[in-house]
Parts: sequence; C-alpha cells; structure tokens
Amino acid sequence: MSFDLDFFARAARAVLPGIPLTLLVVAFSLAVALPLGFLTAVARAKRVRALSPALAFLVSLMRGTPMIVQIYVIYNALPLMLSAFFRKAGIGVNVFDVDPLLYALFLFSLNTTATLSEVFRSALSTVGAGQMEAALTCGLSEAQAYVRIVVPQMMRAASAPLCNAAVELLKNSSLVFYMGVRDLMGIIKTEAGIGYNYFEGYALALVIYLILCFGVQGIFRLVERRAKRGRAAQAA
Amino acid sequence: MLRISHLSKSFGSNQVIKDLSIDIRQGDVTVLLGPSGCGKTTLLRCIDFLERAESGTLSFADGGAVEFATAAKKEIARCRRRFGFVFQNHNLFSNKTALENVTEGLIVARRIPKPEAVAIGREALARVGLANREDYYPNQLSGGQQQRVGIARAIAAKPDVILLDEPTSALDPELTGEVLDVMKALAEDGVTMLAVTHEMTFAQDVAKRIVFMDGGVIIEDSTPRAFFAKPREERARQFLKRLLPNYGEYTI
Repeated sequence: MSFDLDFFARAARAVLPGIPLTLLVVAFSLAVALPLGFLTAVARAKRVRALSPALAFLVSLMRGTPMIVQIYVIYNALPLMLSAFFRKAGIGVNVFDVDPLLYALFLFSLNTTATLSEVFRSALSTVGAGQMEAALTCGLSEAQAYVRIVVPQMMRAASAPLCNAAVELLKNSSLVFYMGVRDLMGIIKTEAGIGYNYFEGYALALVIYLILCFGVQGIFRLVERRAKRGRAAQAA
Repeated sequence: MLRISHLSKSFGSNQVIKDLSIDIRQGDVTVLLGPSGCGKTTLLRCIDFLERAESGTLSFADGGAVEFATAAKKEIARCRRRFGFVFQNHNLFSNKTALENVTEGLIVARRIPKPEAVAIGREALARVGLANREDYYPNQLSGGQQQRVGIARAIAAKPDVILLDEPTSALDPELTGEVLDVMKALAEDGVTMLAVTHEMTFAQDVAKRIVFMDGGVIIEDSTPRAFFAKPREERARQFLKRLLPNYGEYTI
C-alpha cells in the first residue's frame, strides 16, 4: 500500500473552501448557545415553575441521545412534519427546498445550548449565594448583579469546560455531512470516493481537525490569560 | 426614623418571626440578643428584603410605607438604599478590589459619577482604617480587614440604618477587636445601627438599647444597663447565665 501524496495535496486544496463552513457551524452555534445556555442555567437554578422542568427535559433530550440520531430525526422527520403542517396551514413554503445548512445550524445550536447550560449551571454553583445577596443590598438589580459580579466569577470555573465544549462541537460538526451539508468532511469523502483514496482522505481530515482544535484551544487560552491578568484566584 | 410593624415570617411550617414590631430611632445603636434560632438574623434579612416576610409593614418617619409581602422591585430597591448590610462572612465581591467593593453600589446603583464615588469610597475605607488597602482583592486581606471593608461598603452611601448580622462571629477571636473598634467609632459618630451580635462587651458598652428576642418575638426591650443588671424575663436571665459564666453570682 502506498500513500498517494499527489492526491493528498490535491484534496488539501479542494478542502480549503469547506473549512469556513465548519467554522461557521461552530461560531454560529456558540453565538446562539452562550447567551441561551446561560439563561437556561439561570432559569433552572431559580426553579421557575413549569419552565425549569421543561428546560431540564429538553437538556436531557439533547444530551442523553446520540448526535447522529438527532441528526437523522431532525433531517428526516422534521421536514416531513413541517411540510404537513405548512400544507394544512396553507403556507406556501416547500421545506424540501430549504438549505440543509439551516437544519444543521438549528440542531447544533440547540445541542450546544444544552451542553453549555450544564457548564454554566455547575459554574454558577461555584459562586456563593452571598455574592448575589451582597450585590442586592448594595442596590444593584439582579441583572446588574449577574453581569458585574456573578458572571465574572463564574467564568473562572466555566472557562475550561467551555473550551472542552467548543472542541467537542468542532469535532461533532463533521456530522453535518449526514445532513447533506458539504463541509470539509463532506468534500473529503467525495474527493476520496473518486479514486478510492480513503486512507489519504481520512488522514487529511485528521490533520485538519487537529489543526482546527489547536486553534480553538489557542483562542481560549488567550481569552483566559487576558481574564486572569492581574487577578489572583479567589482563596475561598 | 423607621418602624417595622406586625412582621411575620415562616420557613415552611416553622414560624420564625411572629407578629413582631419595632421602632428604630435616629442614632440608636440597637443590639439584638437571643438564643440561636430565635429569628434575629431572619429579622435583619427580612428588613432588607433578602427574605420575603409574609406580612408586616415597613414605614419611614419621612413618609412612605411598604408592605413586606407585596413590595414591588422598585419599592424594594428604594428601601434598600436606606440600609447598609454587613454580612457575617462579609460577602465581599471577590472579583473586585477593596475600593471597587465600596464604589460598586455607588456607581452602578446610585449613579454617582465615578470620581465622586471613588472619593466617597476612599473616605469610607479611611474610616475603617484601611486607606492603604484600597487596591487589595478580598483574598489578599485578613478576615478582620475583609469585614472592615464590608462595613465601609455598608456605610459609604450614608444609609439611614446599618444592619449588621453577626459581623464578628466568623472571625478568629484575635481579629474581632478591630471590627468592634470600627463599630464603636461609628456608634460614637451617631450612625444608626441594628446589630445581631454575641459580643457581650459591645452590647454592654456601646449599645444604647438591647432588644432580647426568643421564639420569634421581642420579650424585652431596654437599656443595656437595665438589661444586664436585672432582666425582667426569666428566659433572658437564662440566656445571660449561659453566655456570661459569672452572671448572677455577685449582687452589689
């Protein structure tokens, strides 16, 4: 068996346009999940009636089932249900024309929200209730207390698991291929299929994902260092 | 200056405060005494809306009254401005310096311009003897210093009343003195205080008024002199006997 370097180089060039799509899925999901995940965590911590159990169920649903199953359900069942609904409601949208990327963004945002809500929930519990009470007695509103006091302290505990979640998300984004989105994994699979160069193709995917993951970790390390600057860790 | 009337608070089926009424007068240094679990801390927390009482009214001498049970967010915020709160374990913002701890409420809640707030904050820190520690984070300060910052934070905005919830109970014995000294100095300056404390010397020497609680009600309200010399109630006598080992052994 020989390693086809020519194919490797050719595929590497072909795959480049797929990288922004992968990064889009990651960035979009994070942009949605950071605020939504935080709000979910707060709502659950406050035990809002009806809302908290509903959110807890949704989080379990997203975190307790394999991503690949969710993908098949969302990608196959959701359009069918939607089109039936649209037909009944008389809305003239053909759901089968919808770009599968939208389904992918929807599912990954939802899934990441569930993951991050758990990250934030445990991070919130590291900030004592007294911090919120002290802020209230100082006259701050609850929202001000969260923004100025609780969240900055929470981030100390959240930053490492957040980075983990981002890396996990990046890796899982390769699954969008199963939704018919041609991300970098999709491109590699097609390229490899032409000349049966699967080994080279997957090796290439390995290298690219590794580089991207290093990139994500690097970004987090940078942010963490900036946050830590001049700030000693809390003793108790 | 401020009147609390008919305050009741339960946790589940346990009624901690029963129809309690108390007046706080300008310049009063009131010490709340009583066995643990008698509702002292809960009373303070209800006054500052950290707990929601089921019933009762908070009224101010300069007009205005709110119902504890139904006060809206805005009313609560308005009431809280009249109080400063000192916590047992200080609850300093661990992500803020000593000075920022004091100025946070001034700038964010009271919208005092930053330079002015910083000046007020420095003055408050100087008052508790920590002018040279303004850039320290809480974890770089000793327990006594942390609690003094906590007091500076409570007094900075010159509230009507400072509520102190066992401000020295979480401190090492050798650190309580510096905190009590600060409280004494404030009392001498005429700051109105309502304090829960087990520091009997402070109660005897600094308080102008002792309120003794048991079972969620006030059973004695008198001067320290009268209270410590001869409490009217048997429960108060029992309490003093437990706390002051030599209590009642001598009669003069």
